[in-house]
Amino acid sequence: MRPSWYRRSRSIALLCVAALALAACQEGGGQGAAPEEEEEGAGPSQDEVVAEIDAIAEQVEAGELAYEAGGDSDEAIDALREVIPQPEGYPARAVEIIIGFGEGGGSDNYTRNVGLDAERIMGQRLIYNNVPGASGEVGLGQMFTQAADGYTIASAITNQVINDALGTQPYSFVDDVAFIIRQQGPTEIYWVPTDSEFETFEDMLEFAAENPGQVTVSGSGIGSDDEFRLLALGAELDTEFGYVPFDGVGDRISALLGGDIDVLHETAGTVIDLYEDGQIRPLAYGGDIVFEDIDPEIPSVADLGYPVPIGRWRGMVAPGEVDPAIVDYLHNVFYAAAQLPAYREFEAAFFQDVAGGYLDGEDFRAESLAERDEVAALAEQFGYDTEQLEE
Amino acid sequence: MDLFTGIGSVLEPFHLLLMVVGVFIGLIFGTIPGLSGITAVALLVPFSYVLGAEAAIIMMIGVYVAATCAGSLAGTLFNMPGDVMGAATARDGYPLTLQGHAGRAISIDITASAVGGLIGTLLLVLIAPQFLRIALRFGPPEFFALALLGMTSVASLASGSLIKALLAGTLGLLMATVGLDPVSGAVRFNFGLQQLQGGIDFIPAIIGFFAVAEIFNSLYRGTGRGRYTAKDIEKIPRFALPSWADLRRTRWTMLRASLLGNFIGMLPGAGSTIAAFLGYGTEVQLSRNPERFGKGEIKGVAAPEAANNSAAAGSMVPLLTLGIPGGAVTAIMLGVFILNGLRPGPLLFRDAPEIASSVFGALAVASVVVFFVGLLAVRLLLRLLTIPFEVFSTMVLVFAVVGTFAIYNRTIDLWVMLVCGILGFFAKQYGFPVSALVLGLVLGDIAETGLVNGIGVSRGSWSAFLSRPFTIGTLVIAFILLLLPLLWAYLGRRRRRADTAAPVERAERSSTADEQDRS
Amino acid sequence: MAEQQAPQERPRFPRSRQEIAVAAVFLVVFVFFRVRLDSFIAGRRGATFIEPDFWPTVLLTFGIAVSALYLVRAVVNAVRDGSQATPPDDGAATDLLPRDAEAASGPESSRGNLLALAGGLALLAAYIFGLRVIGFAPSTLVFCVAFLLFVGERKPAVLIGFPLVITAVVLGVFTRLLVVPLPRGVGVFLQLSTYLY
Repeated sequence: MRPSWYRRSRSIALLCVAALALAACQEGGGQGAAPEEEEEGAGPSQDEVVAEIDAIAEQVEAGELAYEAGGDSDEAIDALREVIPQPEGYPARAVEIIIGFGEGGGSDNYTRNVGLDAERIMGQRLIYNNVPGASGEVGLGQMFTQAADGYTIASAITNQVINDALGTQPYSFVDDVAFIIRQQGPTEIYWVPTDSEFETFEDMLEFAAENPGQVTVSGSGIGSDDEFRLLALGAELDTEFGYVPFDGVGDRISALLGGDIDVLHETAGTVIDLYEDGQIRPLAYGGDIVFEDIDPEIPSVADLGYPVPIGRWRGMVAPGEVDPAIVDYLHNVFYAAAQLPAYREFEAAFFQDVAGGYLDGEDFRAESLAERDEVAALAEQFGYDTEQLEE
Repeated sequence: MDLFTGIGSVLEPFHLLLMVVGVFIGLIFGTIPGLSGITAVALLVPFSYVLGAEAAIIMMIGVYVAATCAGSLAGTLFNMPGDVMGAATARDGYPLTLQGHAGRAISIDITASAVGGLIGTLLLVLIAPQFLRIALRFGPPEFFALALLGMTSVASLASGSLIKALLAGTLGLLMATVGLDPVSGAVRFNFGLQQLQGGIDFIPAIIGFFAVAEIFNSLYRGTGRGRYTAKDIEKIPRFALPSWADLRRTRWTMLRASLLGNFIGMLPGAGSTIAAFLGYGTEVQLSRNPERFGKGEIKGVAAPEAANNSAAAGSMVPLLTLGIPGGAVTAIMLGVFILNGLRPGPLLFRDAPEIASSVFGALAVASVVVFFVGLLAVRLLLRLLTIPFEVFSTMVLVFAVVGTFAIYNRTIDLWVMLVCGILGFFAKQYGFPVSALVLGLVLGDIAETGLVNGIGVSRGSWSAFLSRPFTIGTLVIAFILLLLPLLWAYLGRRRRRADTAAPVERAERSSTADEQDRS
Repeated sequence: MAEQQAPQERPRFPRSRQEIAVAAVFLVVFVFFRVRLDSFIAGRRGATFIEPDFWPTVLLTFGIAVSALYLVRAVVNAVRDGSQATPPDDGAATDLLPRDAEAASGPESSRGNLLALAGGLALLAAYIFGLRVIGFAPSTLVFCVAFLLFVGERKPAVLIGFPLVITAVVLGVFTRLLVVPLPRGVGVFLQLSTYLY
């Protein structure tokens, strides 16, 4: 009982100060006496570190190491600090993470949740900097203007690779960033209202094939992974979908429930309540993963033999010139944070644990390169007019 | 009853304390020119981890409700609203301050907020599901029609010249097209600036249009503030209840605006900003003396206030029942729910009924707390008016810069603010209603997305705009609102034919009429 | 506080002619963007039923029509104004507020005040620019002192005390409590800012 009351009273004190706006008081969390690393260079390899982190995560799972979310430190965190080699003098102060989307969105939730334990492991605060605009590009552009010292990093999503392929930005995402870690994979599902006339995904495809452009599908904006999936599907069936993009999740959902669109391509976690409440039902899983917990009977698009070009992932990147030792360190920190209960509970609620999506920096980079080529090819195939973008 | 258990939970000492602290934060952020309620709510997100979902939501609602009210206080006192809603209130609130009736304006401001909030909460509890069913029928074509309806209130913002109001509105709509087109993804009017791809956000724009422009204006004219002295403030009672006459004058206004605002607030994506302007516009168009508005009409303060606070409650409906955020603040709240492992949506009432009822309770309690804290603070607020211009202007500019920056941490927003400051200065010099500009900026995206996606869902057929009952209904209302002033004008002319009043005298008469109302 | 528009002194550049200039600016801006619209829109076309240039075209066309009308009325008013010294009708010069109308047409609107305006603008622009280069704390301090001097504050206590207090309060509230990453500047200033927050 006591710790929670203690925390409460501390936060009250904190907020009272804010309310009075008179004095700046020292927040209690920043005593970052991080453990010192003895030797440089001859440290363990990345694979070994990851293996050790996994071992600790298992111990936490088995209850052998004490773990208390939100505390200042505990056994699990101490053990992780032991095994993660730390670059010299880093991090000496708070690290800023630029989130290219607004508060409360998917990227924001991912970043803040993985950050919960990451900042405990680092012994430094993470400062979340929401810089929304142009599907994450305004934030990314801002990251490039900051010093490449490892104190400014950004969370990125698939759109960054797509925009790179389409050449909409003055920089190249894939070539100019240092890839830290990829942590979330696609969980999109094709949803219809419960009373929809489409019983199965095949029904919908059949109707779409006969009536090109008449099946309206919604996703998040043009030039998003949603649109490319539909373009690929349409090309395979030699038909077209009426793709109607809405910027906000809310607009998409109300358009589906209000009957303005026929099908919604949306992440599982966002609308799962509507499904459990019986308002919507899934037609097919958008990628190659079948979510057993939702409905094992429903096929995935890949199972049905259709192409699935790209999916929505999320991860962390830094400016390209950041010291590789820092990039590795950050990878290990975020990897470790993702193995701990706080983030895993969040993942489970959003079906991210099923979707996986983890890649280390190197694989993340390779995958992004491949995706960029793939998108560029698709863009050409579908007549995406990218030339006007260069001025 | 959900509402009562909710109120009970909010009245627990710890929650009540948080609520009061939240109200204070909201009032401070809302009142300081340059800072805004959205900033306050966004900046509080990290605290939700420490507090837990229920406490965090209660506190945030306190902040939200207080800031919704206080954004207009800054508009009334300094013509420096912190929020779009405040821009509507400032139109009549600021003239009242200039005329020496700041205390009166603020009392009504706060009262209307509380009334709007309470009516909104009641509606939320009683008829939300029915309203929501209608709200869901609002697809893209309806949103386009709604934006047109909103634009009709541009006519009500015209102070004298309709042409100028139209030009300002058009410019605002054009400013809304800057950046990435939400539907086609095309980059428009970014003048080669990568950061502008994110578009022009309306908080920096409003801070520029009002706060910065107001300082520029004072510099240009060489007129400092100092209209109020410590003596004037002594006259204001410690607990500044509005006068009975003002209440009687605005009671139907408040009721109408609350009903309207609540419904508009429920429409996902419309939110309280449109509600405030529509509340104001409707009141002007229903009024038989529209020429009084914009010159210190107390109804012009009550209407947008009641509407936007009621809308704040309304915007909780799609959030709680479907998990759809209706506006910027509710989007942030959705994030707080999710951060705490809760998912707003149809199952929230089943899985965490205590949270849902806490939201209801918090809305009701927050309105009451804002009422009392606000009225107690009237004198304190008015004291801000006595700050010497030198210090005041410096402070406003610093807060304008910090407040603008703190929302998204984008440097480009600061330049947007500066440019809008210059635009706002010229607009004021030449009698262009800045609020029409703001309205255009807010409605631009809604109108265009509604238009483009309206055609999108009907697969290329314009008939969507003429065959859907709610589209037609909204368009008809817009049309009626446009025609009403003409009707009143016609009736008025017939009445006035007897006395051959020149325009100048007429203005004088209306200001004396105001004075009579006051006594 | 009755509205007093009639006994205004005629400035060298009368209000009615300024109105013409404003109308002309609007017209020129709208026409310019309308004509060169394509160069301001970059992106794929053909993805939606309505192209991304449709809505701006509608708005600009409407804007051109309204500003042309405005120009015509402004010219008509100017002509009428020149012949008979009646106050301009509500189509041309009704300000938002009676007081403003008073001040705007008063003798103060001379060039000296334009200087004050330009000065304030320049200071604010310099402040915004300085944020990026020298960071929040130094630029706010410098701006506050400069602006206070500029608007005529001479009391040393205010000149020194106020900037320090407001900088400290903002720094404390925003960086400590609300964890907003305020700009830190570059080079030496980055280190200084890092030391502070």
